[in-house]
Amino acid sequence: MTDAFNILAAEYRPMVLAYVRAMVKDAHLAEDLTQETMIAAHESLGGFEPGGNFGRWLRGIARNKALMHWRSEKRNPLLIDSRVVEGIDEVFDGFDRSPEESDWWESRKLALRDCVALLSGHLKAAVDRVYFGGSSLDESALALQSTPAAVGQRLCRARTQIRECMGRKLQLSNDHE
Amino acid sequence: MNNKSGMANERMIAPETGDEEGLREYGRQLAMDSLMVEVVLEAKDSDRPANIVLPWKRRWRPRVWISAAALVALAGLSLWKLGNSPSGQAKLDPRWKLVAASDADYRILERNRVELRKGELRFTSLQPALLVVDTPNASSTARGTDFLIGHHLADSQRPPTGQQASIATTPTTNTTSITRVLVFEGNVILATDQGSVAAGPDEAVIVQAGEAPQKIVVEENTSFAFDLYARLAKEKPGENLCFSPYSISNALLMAAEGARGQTAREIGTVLGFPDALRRVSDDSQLVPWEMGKIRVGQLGLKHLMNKRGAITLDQAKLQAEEATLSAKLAEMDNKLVLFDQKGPQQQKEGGKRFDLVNEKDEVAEKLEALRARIDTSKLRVANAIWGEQTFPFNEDWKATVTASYGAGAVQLADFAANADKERLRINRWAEEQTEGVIADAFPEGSLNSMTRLAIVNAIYFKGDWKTPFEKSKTSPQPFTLGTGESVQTALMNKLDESDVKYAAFHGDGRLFSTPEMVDESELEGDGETLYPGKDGFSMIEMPYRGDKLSMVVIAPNDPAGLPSIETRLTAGNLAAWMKSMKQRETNVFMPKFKMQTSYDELGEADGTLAAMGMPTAFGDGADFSGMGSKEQLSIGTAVHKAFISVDEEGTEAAAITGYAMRAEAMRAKIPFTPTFRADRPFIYLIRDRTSGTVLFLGRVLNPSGLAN
Repeated sequence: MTDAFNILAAEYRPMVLAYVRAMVKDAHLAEDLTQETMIAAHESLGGFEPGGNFGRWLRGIARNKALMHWRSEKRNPLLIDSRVVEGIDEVFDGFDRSPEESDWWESRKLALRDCVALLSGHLKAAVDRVYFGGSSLDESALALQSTPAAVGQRLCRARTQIRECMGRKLQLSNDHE
Repeated sequence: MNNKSGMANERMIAPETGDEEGLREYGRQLAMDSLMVEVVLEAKDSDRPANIVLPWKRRWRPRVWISAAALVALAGLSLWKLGNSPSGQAKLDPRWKLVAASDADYRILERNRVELRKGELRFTSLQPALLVVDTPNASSTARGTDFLIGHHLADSQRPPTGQQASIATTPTTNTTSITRVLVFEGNVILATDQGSVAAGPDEAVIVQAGEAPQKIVVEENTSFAFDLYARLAKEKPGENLCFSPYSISNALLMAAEGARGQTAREIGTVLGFPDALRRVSDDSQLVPWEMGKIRVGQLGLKHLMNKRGAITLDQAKLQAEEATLSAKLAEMDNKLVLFDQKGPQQQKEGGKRFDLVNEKDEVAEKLEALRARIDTSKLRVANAIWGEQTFPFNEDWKATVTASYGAGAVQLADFAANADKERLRINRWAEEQTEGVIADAFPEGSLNSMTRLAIVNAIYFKGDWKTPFEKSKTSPQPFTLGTGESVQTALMNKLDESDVKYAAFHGDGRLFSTPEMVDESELEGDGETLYPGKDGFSMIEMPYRGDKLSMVVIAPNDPAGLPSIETRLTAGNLAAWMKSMKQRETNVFMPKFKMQTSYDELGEADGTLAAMGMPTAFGDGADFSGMGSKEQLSIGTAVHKAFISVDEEGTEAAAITGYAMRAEAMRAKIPFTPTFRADRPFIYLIRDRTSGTVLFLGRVLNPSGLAN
């Protein structure tokens, strides 16, 4: 059981980390909470129903960990808003592993990279600067001869387009299987 | 690794806490942000597309640059502030809410009496109460209403003699004052020594010093929209179209304010100014139109447009009600959770739980109905003008465009030495106004040292359907092109949709009598009693949440029939067709699509607008001396860019169309639900339902490559 869990945990850990990071918006805290999530999952593995969606089950545990954290911190009320969590869940549910799919997380990242490459010029420039170049919005705005607010809007639009593009790609690959 | 990968806050725009869908979208954005950070850990992709540099023609003459950008979102009246009584003044009756423009000069004389000397005030009565607003020209009396009142100095439009006199840089004796009132709700009576006029909703009244008040109808002239459509359809055969006639006409109007003689006559004719507004006086050759009246109507329209984004009392009530019901629903959810945690005891109280679930369902249903009535659309219209700092612009013209078009002050620019830097500054403004959708309003090289003026209008719209399409029902379906070939496209559908107006027409534009009830056998036949013949067409109107704006879609029965509809597409016909439409259950099929268009050739000397009847503005004979006379000005180029995205939830900037046949049923005499299919070429327009203003207009001939 432990060996099987370890294999699964290794496969799902990056997804859980990304999920928790979305909820807490802090890379270090996300690492800690992911670790706690995996430990809690291991301890309550008996509660997982065979045939169920393992990724969603793990995210349920991770969600509780993140919410408990914010409640104990008594701050950032926006993040514990159920509608924000619904939005995060919607994205991760949409990118879940399909039955029989191998290397699923790798294929999600590949799809994301492909979709970034398909962005139109000014959106891609903003994504390149901020995400891949590590620049702040101010720095990017200066380089792109724009304003921080406009760069923020470009990023927002880019993320939406990437999500939609990934959805189409995954739908297409599911249809082919 | 990106050292800022843990700082998603910086990359996010947090929504308002009450914005339910905004919060969900925020969650989606957080999720995508995190996934992108994940990928950044491993990959670096730095390929960038080359900058697109368009071959702009250089000219030796100074130019007027006009641009119109069309987009999606809500108008915030940033120049306005809540009108707290200045110190030492009386306090306004609390039943009235006052919002004042930042430059307004006013005094609260008594709790129900205000004196306005300059600028604009918006009054909204929270409960029925009397209010009198005095300006130097008139006294306005209102009770239980919502209205805007302004008082400004304006050029008299009566230059003593000759052109030079009309362009004096310092207004003196040729200045008059105008009071104008725009009524949103209720009635306002304007009185002067010369007479009085009562104005109702969406009506505007102007009073010039010493004259009787005059009513102006706030109504968009849609003929320009369809004339431009016809021209573009001819110039771009086989192409999809998307443009904002409202945006283009707004920018042109600001230029028209400074146009004189033949240039002004042509612009007015192209924009469809009515003959009734032609001036009859000694100088009518020089100043041919009653611009004062035209601009009041336009200002009224702009306020109506921007009002679409403002929260009205009704909307505020609905939102408060929504918050109450949401809280109630959350409380019931909690109760149910607590109930279920009780374990065995819950079995004994099964009846109570059942009641609670029922009650919760009722609340949820009420909430859903309420939300459909809440206006979530965003509509922003903004004008801006940049003028070369060394060019002596006419102060009258500057004052007029500033006061009447909401353009803000004419901003100084250094086109002579830093044209490209100024171009980027203007593009940033346009990008911000259009929420990032239009990034390069003026392409590289389009402004140069000879540029004297850039006039830009931006419009952004984003609306949720009153009744959204269900995403799960969208599927790839064939779209039949005009040639008879078909392509696959994502077709959305809503069956038995009741929030739709529908009508079908014969090929000659006569209304087809769509039956309400039919025999079962008719449904199995060829549909000739249910839909007009092959040369006919049908229309639907689908409202956005809040019911103020809607999308109208027109589709032919025959996929090859769009050109025939286009020849009949005039303002008069559209108005007649719209009147024939009836709210009834309709099955609606239409594609999701997204397109971005750029019409950079609108303002070339041999471009679209010139061909429509205003060539003088682009040529050597152009006369914009009303703006300033140091050098001869002409329009160098007019740039128009537009964007539209239509999906299951709504529209960001523009529209859809369709028509079709077939229905199902089994009984002898059964209700008939017509089907409207936009799985063939169609025309779409987004319009303001009150004024009829066409905000966006276009067509989809082939959805390939427009996947949304």
